[in-house]
Amino acid sequence: MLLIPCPWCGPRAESEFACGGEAGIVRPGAPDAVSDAEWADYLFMRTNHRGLHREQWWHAHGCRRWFIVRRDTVTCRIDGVEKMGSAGAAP
Amino acid sequence: MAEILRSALHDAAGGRLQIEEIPGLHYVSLRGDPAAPAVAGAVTDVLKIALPLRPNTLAASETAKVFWLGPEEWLLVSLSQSAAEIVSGLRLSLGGLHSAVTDVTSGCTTIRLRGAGSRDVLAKGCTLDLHPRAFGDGQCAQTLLAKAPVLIEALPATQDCQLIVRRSYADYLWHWLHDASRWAQ
Ligand SMILES: [Zn+2]
Repeated sequence: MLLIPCPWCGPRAESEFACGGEAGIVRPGAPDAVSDAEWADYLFMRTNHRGLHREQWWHAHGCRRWFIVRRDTVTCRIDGVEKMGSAGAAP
Repeated sequence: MAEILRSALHDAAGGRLQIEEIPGLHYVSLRGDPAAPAVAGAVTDVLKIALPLRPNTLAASETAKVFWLGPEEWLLVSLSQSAAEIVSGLRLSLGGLHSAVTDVTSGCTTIRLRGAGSRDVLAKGCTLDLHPRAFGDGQCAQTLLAKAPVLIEALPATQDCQLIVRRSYADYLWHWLHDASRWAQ
């Protein structure tokens, strides 16, 4: 089980959290103007990165806040966390 | 003093353990921006308690408690004032400020564990370190107990703890606590 350091509550067991997938996915600003392929890319395509990965986590059974975790997908080592909207945190 | 809905006594590993469900408390959820002085001001006006801003802490008076639930969310629990009084008092004090005040009394109940074995029993279904050196006076935590969401409060200067749980989980947790206490022998 991962020990995830919530930026508010501190280190908590993975069972308190839900993973929201890759962070930094940006919704196209003008949905009418993008092609079906671009829209599908936004909706469905993820990098499935090997190594350091930025992903969204939700502290579902704690403070109920979303934040970003930098985790190595090979070793599961957590490099750090960011609050949503803080410097360095993509939307 | 609040009435007791149900009570049970166990001989757990660490000593005697009393488990009680305490109904009839009043619960109000408050959401607002802690940077706005009116938010802390409203709580001070109505409950005479300073709003806790540090994660995993609570502030208390003789008759009420305010739990930190998130960076802009608190749970107010009162023994004496009704939730309706607290809600109207807070709304009056907050004025038009962007905030939310909700009576959640009908959704909550409190289970108290008293006795030296209290934290050992909770530890069977909880991933947090509940030792008093890690979880002491004035601390609270929202977490899972035997997979049910709970708000655990460390009661001062003892091993005692209090759980605030959703009413719909209370029966399940009550039975789980009995079972966990039994196997602590
Ligand atoms: Zn948290």
